[in-house]
Amino acid sequence: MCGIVGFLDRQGHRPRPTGRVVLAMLEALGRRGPGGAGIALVRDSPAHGVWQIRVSSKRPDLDLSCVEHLGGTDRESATRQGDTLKFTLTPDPGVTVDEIERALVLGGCQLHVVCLGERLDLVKQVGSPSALEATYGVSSWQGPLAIGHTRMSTESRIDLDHSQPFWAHGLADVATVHNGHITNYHKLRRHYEHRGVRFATDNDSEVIGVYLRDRLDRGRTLVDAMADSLDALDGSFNYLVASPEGLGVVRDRHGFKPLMVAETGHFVAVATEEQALRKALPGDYRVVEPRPGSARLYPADVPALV
Amino acid sequence: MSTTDDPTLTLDCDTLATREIHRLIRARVAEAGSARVRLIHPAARHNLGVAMPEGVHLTIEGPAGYYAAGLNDGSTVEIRGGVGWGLAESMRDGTVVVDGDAANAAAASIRAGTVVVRGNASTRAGIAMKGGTLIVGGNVGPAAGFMMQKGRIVVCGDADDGIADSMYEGTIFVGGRIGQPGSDVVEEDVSEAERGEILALLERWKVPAPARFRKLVSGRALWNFRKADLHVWKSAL
Repeated sequence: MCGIVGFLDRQGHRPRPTGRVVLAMLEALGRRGPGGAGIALVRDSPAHGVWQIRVSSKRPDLDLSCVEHLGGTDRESATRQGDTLKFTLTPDPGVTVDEIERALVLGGCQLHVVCLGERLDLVKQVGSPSALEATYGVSSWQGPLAIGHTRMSTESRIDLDHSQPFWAHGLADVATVHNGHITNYHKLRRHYEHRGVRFATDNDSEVIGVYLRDRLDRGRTLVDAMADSLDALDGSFNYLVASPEGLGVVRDRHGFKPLMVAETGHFVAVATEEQALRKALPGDYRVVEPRPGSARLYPADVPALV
Repeated sequence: MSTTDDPTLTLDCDTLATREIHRLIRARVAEAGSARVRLIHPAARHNLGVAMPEGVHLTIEGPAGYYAAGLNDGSTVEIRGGVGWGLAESMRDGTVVVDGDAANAAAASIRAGTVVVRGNASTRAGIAMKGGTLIVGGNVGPAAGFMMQKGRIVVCGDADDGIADSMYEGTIFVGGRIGQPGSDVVEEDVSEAERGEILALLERWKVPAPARFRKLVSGRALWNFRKADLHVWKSAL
């Protein structure tokens, strides 16, 4: 079943932290999936040239020796939260996201990269949204937009790495959440693996980020890549994209899964069930179901209303 | 206690579980023979006003979630807001009026009665209807009236692709533009008598009528299997 939520602030000055809004929406959908919960947030101000990296690891120490040849790491800033470790890395000129991830995963550290980017933070774990708050304190997170997920696992393992959101591996600052089932996942996965892409999990939802990354590498814009996915992905899918560009909302051509959207001058909010919007965002606003086969990007840089 | 001096029962969703709300309404009907009920603070909760019996007049003061007034058993349910999936699904009889928009599958499989959506209805409005009337004041999304078996749909606005796809029987009237129609759809002329009937229906429910209507019915070509169509079936399955 799963529940997905997304929130984009259009006011600039936020009466409530974006993290709190998204957490409230997720809590309202908690019973759609007790298997895991997660939130990905785009932060306000980028730390230019500094990548914030979160990895999952149960080991108490943080061994960053495998990436030290790729840039400067700040051991002092490294923090442990739940089963993740977060640290910063200032990459040397020319170092790519792929090189960093490859070094962390294969270079002796044996870590799973949860997210990477100048503005993206992404946390997830097995259990309820309330447990997520207890571990990560997401309700104080500030930023223009965030997406969230409550998981009911149907096919792949229940653990942190298989929970959502998924960072779009190889693409800094982009994450997705998905409700549904990508039925041509194995075909797509074989296609990409032949071309050298390394999948981090067995979860079909991971392929959405892989697909978007591939399209962007081929020169498509994010919104075009989302539109392309309507034909390339089979099955039932509503997925949301968090990117510094904005909040992406995509529905499959048949509208197999429910999704409700509210768009006002102050915010854009999306959830699998309208009651999540009503719980998190009081007020009188219209909530509609987007047309099936639509891919829309709500830009993050809308100027604040006067 | 007669219907006229029966005071309105106000129930608050903030303090009552859905099951308790329905139990209280049923208790009132059992005691008084009828019940006028206001439901406040619905906040898009699911399954509100489900299987309400005759004699109930329920007003939901705000948006309702999925399956609002589903399995309606003869009651009148008014919703002062929008609704989610499955409005009045499988209604036996009664009246359901929505002031706002409806999500997927409004009036799915209803057997009789009337469903009015003053705003837009999303995908698959009136899917598999087995009777009754669905009126949509605005537009309908793709596949409205899909596999409809009986009854009537009146769309005052535009109809998206796939309208009336594979319908067995029934009639669909569309006031606005029609996208790509579904399989086996035939357009017929609207008689003066039909036109008068529809205008009276819209006036009764205070839904603004468009200048003209088009009428869609089943071409009945899918009723029976024809050997000549074998290749189509093979490719479809």
